[in-house]
Amino acid sequence: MKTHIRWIIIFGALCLVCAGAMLLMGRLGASAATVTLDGKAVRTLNLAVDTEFDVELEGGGHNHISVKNGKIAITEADCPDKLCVRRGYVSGGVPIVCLPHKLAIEFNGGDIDAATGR
Amino acid sequence: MKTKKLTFMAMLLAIALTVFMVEARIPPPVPIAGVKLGLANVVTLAALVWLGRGEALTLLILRVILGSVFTGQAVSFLYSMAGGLLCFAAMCAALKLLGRQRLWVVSVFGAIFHNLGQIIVAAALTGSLGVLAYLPALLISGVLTGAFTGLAAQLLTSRIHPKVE
Repeated sequence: MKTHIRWIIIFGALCLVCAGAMLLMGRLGASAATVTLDGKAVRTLNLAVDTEFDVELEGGGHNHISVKNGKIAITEADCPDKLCVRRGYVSGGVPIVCLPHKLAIEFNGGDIDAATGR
Repeated sequence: MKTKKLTFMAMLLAIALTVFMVEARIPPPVPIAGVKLGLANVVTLAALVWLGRGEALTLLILRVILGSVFTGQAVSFLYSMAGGLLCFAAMCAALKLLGRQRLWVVSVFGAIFHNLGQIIVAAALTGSLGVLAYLPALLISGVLTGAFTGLAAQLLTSRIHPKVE
């Protein structure tokens, strides 16, 4: 029983550290985002400018990306799991990924950039 | 291979595939790719305890191949195989060190390494290291789901002792 409790404490501590890291990342703001498709950057966006556009895949398939009020989301996609759409509007931190389409939206620029608007 | 063992392994494969297919139908609770219960791992763990490494690895590889064929997603094959093999290696090492009385710990290590393998494949496929930011979320999910499936496998193997040799 003792060793079970020891392992519970070890794994519990690991979870707490991870939860802390997630909280920290969630608070990161970003001023710009890069859309990558299959590892190649296809578009860099200033999050201060509202915009909407489609990313078309070569072999068919698309993701509709929308920037609004400093946040970015994939609002519509024809991937099988739709996990990217369910993330909703995000302002920074953990990237939005659509694994079936090998598409990722990564954030660049921190709080300082957001404050100066550049 | 004895007929009885062959039949037993075929039955385990059928159970693993059924569990895998049913689980694939459950919508993911959180919008993060890779978060899932991994119930089919109960069968891999049980096979590891009941039969041995070679047999468990055979079952795992067959389940991943057939599972991808049945769900019809070619991309998921890469994730499942990378995650599955890394998970298997971690579980073999952990089982040797910890023994079957701590099977749930073995399972947690397996789940953590499964998710690590998936992140590595995701980073390679999307070509961006940004997906590594998913690591904390997937570690938490690995600990929770691994403990659950491991406890299930531990209860199963401590109550049922099939004679297959």
